[in-house]
Amino acid sequence: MNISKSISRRNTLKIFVSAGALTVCMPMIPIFGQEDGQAADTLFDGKLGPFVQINANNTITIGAPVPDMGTGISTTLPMIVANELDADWETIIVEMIPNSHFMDEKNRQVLDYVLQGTGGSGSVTNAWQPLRECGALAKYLILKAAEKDLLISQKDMVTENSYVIVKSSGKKYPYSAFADTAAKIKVPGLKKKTSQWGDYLLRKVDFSETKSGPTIKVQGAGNIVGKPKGQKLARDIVTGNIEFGFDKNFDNQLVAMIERCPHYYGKVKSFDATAALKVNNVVDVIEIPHLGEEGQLKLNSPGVAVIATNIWAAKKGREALKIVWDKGNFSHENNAWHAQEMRDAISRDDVKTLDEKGDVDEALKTSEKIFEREYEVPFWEHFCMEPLSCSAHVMQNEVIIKAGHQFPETIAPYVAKATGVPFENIHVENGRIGGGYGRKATIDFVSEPVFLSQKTGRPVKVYWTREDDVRHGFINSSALYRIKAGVDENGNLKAWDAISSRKGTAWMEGFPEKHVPNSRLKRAYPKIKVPTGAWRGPGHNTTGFVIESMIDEIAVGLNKDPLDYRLEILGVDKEYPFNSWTPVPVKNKTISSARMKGVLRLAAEKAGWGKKMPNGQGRGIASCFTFGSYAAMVVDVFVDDKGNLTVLKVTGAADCGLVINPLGAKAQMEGGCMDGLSAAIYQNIQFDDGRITTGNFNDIPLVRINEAIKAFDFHFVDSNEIPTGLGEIALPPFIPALMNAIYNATGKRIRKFPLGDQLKT
Amino acid sequence: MITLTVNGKKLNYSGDGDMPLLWYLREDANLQGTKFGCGIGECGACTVHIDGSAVRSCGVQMGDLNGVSVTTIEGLATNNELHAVQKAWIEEDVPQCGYCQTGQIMATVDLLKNFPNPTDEEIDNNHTNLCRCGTYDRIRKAIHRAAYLMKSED
Repeated sequence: MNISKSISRRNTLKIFVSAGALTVCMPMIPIFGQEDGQAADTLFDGKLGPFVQINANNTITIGAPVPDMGTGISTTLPMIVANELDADWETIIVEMIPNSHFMDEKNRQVLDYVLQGTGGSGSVTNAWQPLRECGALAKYLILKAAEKDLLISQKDMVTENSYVIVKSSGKKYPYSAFADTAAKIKVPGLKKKTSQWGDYLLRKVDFSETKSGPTIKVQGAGNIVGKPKGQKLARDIVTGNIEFGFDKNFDNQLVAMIERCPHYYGKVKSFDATAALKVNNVVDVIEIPHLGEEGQLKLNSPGVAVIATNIWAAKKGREALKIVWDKGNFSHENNAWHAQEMRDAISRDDVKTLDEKGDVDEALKTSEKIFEREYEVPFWEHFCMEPLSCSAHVMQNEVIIKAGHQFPETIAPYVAKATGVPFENIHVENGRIGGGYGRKATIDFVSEPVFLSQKTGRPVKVYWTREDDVRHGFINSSALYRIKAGVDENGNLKAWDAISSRKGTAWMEGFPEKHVPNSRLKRAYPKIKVPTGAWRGPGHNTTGFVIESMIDEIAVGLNKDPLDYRLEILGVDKEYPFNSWTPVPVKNKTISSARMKGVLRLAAEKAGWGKKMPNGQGRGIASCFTFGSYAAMVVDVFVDDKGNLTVLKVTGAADCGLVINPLGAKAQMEGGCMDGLSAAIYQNIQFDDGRITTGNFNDIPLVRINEAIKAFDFHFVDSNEIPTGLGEIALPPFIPALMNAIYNATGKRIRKFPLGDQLKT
Repeated sequence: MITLTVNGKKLNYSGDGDMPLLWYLREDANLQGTKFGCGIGECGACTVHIDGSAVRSCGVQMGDLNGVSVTTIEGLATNNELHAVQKAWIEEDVPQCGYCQTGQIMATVDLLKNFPNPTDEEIDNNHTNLCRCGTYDRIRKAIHRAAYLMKSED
């Protein structure tokens, strides 16, 4: 049976996608009345809330709602539910649950229970409260059921490791013994409620109006949250049994490879498909126009698709295409032009002041010492190990999309518009994501198979090669930063004048700007047209390097200890507001200087800051605030007399509130540092003729095990603040700490990336 | 006609001789644990064993494979009992996104044949698979752990 024929919107909700297999569970009812006293089996069709299913053998299946791109979120989120439920973690089964959303009566998209997109290090923060509530609800229902079945008061019961224990008798009952009764318990006041959550409408389970209803554990309590746990899906990963987006197929699908216009915003002028169509197993050649709206610069790169019955034929067919390109209007762009343009933009009159206080010009005039520095960063690619891929089957009144997408909830609205198929008939099957870093957040790679399936009437899978992936991304902007700082006779920072020149915003606010009496942040607008987008820690990924290198330069210039100097600038404990983006809607967004000092001190203490380094070795420190979390890094390096760099050790501290899974948290810190190392020493995307010429890993090496950081030692501030993210917080302070360490070892100050051979000259 | 053995099963192939083994495994044999990463033998995500040795399957053509025996990640565990390297990978909680890890594991199984008790330097010089998530520290620990597990299994 063809799944695409049998599947319906409602049925999509009952399919748990896990490990490549489709397991049909009890269906959920997408829309229902809100009258009082409904039982869980009505509200959640047999399950104890949206994420919990107690199985007959007393294992508990917990749904993981957010796609995992290497963040460990498929373990972290179920831990939150299981903790609240007093479940036995060892017997928990984790299953990825599909995207769940609907259109309300006003035709607005409403997301169910939690935000299912992943980006901006926001997944844990966003899901924390709703998942605790769902776990608490399930436990509440079990205890109610136990009371009913055993005729014993709840006061005589405790819950532990998926068992209800009667204190007076010592008798143990598995949760499963009460599952049926629990599902039928009516809870007056229990309902689902839709409310605004940032940019979204979110429908959550709401028991605020229940009397003596579920109670959530005090934050930090429980036996699972805060304990190191291995990934639940690890076995599926190491046996090759997990489906990534790249592994998703339709029966009877056609396969497409697309020769896209290499020049950004260029298009196809003409093409000759004669030879391509002669390739065995090639079935069609179809031109793909720009699929974006009028005025939109880039939704996708236009090109010519070769459709075949297998990938090898599609690839060969593509190689046989003869295409004449219209290069568009930006073929003057290349690396030298970008560099000059960033420089020129700084002196143009459209430079904008983003933030200003005091009198910076006057303060600079009266400063005892002035430091003026310039830092430059090239374009960085995502290089996800899993290249892009997406399959689509567009039928008359139904569409099925299969991909590994960071924001699956954005797919249906696009597809509904593109195809005219009603929103509720668009089904998205999202796979595991083989690295995202911001690249798999856009709709470009979804738009192509949708278009091709419409044209062919068949399910179509579009494969991207590594070169396609590198040349048609939305990449991290190059940037030029200039900072002029003035200090008084005691070395206190009295003036800070910073400008960024790059495509897109780069936040330079917070540290040290907020701590300097006279400060100004400016932004220049170079007319660079390279398609840019989110890249692990957008903005912070390069401003961290710039600000923390500059502070180091000033400290060294004043003969002050770089740690002490930072603590001096941070001064007394205070909270100060900031404007830059955060993953969660927060009122009165503030940065805490106390938490920043906390991570600096913790990292320094654990590293033994201040000890003398052996010959050839150096040590650097830096800290950053990114998307709600604080991190500080102490990096130790060795540079031999030929200029070869070895990163010996990273000692790091993070304050991300309550840590859910310390083992996964450390993994994110390790990954962030390794990523930063690759980016800083190697990434340097090449352009010519208004196109990216870099193609594959032979053009840009990334760090391998022989160059990897030799040792990590990470510590988390013992905190009971709301959990905040970790995926993007290690990289911004790691890069400057590394560069400061290199300076400390060699006396060479790196102000322009990539590091490349700079230590060898 | 090419006849080859994949995970112990005899299979025939009569398509393009220049098609890489990688695509045969993924599309024809439906063994998708072997991953595409670069297509030029740089990253190692597509590592399999041919007659017991680790090979990057994107660079091997089907026409050259008559009579060979191929093992993929799906054929590594025996009777549901994971290979020591897979066990070590779980115990060290290595994977982040996990995409490259099947290739890392296949490369490690071969590495440990040549270096049953590898030093860090031997790992550095002989383990060249790319991991974009940067799980190298845990990969190194898992390689050492696997070496230990394999000795205890003997």
